[in-house]
Amino acid sequence: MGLGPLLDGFAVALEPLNLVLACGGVFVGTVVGMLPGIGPINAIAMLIPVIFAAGLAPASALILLAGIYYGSQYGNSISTILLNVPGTASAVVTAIDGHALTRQGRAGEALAMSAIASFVGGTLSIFGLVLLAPALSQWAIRFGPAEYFALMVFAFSALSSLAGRSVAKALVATGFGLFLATVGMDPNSAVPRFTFGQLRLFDGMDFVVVTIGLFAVSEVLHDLGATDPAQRAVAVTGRVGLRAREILGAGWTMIRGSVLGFFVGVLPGAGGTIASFVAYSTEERIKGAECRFGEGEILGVAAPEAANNAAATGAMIPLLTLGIPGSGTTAVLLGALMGLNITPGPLLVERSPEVFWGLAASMYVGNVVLLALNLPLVRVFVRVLELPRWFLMPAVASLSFVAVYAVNRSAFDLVLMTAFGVIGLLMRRGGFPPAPVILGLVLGPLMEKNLRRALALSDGDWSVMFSSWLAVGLWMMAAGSLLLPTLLARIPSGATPPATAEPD
Amino acid sequence: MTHDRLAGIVILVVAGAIMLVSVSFRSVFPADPLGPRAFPLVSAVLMGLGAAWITFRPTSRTTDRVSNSVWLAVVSFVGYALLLEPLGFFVATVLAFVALSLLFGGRPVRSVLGGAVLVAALYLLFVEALGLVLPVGSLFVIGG
Repeated sequence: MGLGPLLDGFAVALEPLNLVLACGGVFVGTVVGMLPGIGPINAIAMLIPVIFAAGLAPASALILLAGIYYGSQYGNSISTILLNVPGTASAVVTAIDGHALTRQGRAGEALAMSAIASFVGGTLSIFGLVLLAPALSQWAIRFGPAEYFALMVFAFSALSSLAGRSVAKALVATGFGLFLATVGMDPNSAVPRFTFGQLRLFDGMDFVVVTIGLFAVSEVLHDLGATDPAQRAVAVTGRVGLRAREILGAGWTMIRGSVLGFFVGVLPGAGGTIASFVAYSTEERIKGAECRFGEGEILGVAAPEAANNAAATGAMIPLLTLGIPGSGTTAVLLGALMGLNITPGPLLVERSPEVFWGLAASMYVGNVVLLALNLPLVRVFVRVLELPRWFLMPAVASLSFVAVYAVNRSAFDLVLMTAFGVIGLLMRRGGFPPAPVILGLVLGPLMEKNLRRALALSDGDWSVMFSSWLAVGLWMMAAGSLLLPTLLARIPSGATPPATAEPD
Repeated sequence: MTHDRLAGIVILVVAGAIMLVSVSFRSVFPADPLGPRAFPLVSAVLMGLGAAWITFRPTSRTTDRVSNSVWLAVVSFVGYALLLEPLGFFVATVLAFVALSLLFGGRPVRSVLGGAVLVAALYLLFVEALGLVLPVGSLFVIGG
């Protein structure tokens, strides 16, 4: 395929008005994305009316959208790293090492790495989008319910690397997340589960309520009770940037994260979440021996950030080529595209190539603007941590209240949020990792739906789970991912100390 | 009794309760071989396995008390949930902010000022810029 249309796309994207829109979009997106509970999906959804009201040409509107999208994704990383308040499930992994770095006064490095990794993930995946879109859309269709279920089991097998010190505690946290996922009206049988007659619970546990409770509220409570100052978020003491050597050192991590994120992102569903979890655990497997994952490892920020940005682009493939939105964000984008009189689907690339290539070019421009605008601003963002605790912590709490209340306009959600805050605090004190809870909550409904669908189609015959090579391959990856670390740990445990082990 | 063992036993009880409740879930549709009870049961089994492991092989040593200020903060959160709709966003949020700020060692005057500034900023951001609706307070509503 010729590059002519892509160059045309760039020519449009680089017009002065469009560059201004890209910068404006990135800036607004960053600010809105930083708010807890708002996150990228809501940022775009809220700003779409503004885009239509401005009466922009489709190309300009797409550029503004791409800017808002990338900006809000990065804004979400900022609040995740600085305040331990992830706004999306895919940012939950970034919180582990990102916030640990903040506690060590290295927030500047973490934010810079997040911007760079996002840029690398975005760039590589846009190449992937341009080159592989038609071929991959066929791949995505081959994922039936059995394959999806196996993919999610694979994602859960990555948990062993998130477990920290205790696998047993990670198991409890996963079970708890899966349990929370079952609360509410069962969509298959209309049986209400664990609702205790509370009508509010029929819709299930809201992701925002649980995440803000487990992360933001428990962070505030934890900080209040922390007698050890080392447990608190501290103002930046280290550098506010990265040396070239450090960026290059994360090069392979970012590339692996991007490739993995892109391919997982193509699959409709929880692409970004699975991608970031799997990328993190892959890196931990490969580099775990020489790095300190979970205790403030910069690669632990680079891997999931590259992966979830790449996954976001990957998710555009089923949207553009099949018209299937694979994630909440792409569903909102689909709405925006339809509003611009663009109907995504198999004929999009043939009939209106300028839109497809224009979108690729605008995404790329959005990505570059994000890096150019936000990297210098890192030193401004980290100053948030210099606010006195008597202001910062109540401010985080107040933001959480407003965000949670705004979801359903329900005071009951605020009580639920507080309950999860207390659970989160107890989990921290007991050494239970919170990330698996979110993974269980987000993937649980998808797992259950796909497993039950697969078994319904096969009349209860379990062999359907292994009926395709794709499914068998995924099961083998899951099994390998669970068993390999144990086996690797056994090998050097004889004479050689584990520190000298070379896992790759 | 160590911290871990206590946690393990509590979680075992919770997991058992989940199982007991789950058993009563029944599907009326024949085309659903797994039914609504399988997933809750699996989640409870995972929790139970982890909890049993923790109970019999506890690793954590101490039981540190949760300080009173933490519980006061929790009370202020619940208070906020109860007062938000009657008192409205402005009053309730400033109150919650000040309560929490004092717990974090802020001085009263500064806390009130800080709360007022933050609430104004939140209002501009959420209500004016993003178009969300926050309660005005049923006690103060005069007209529409």
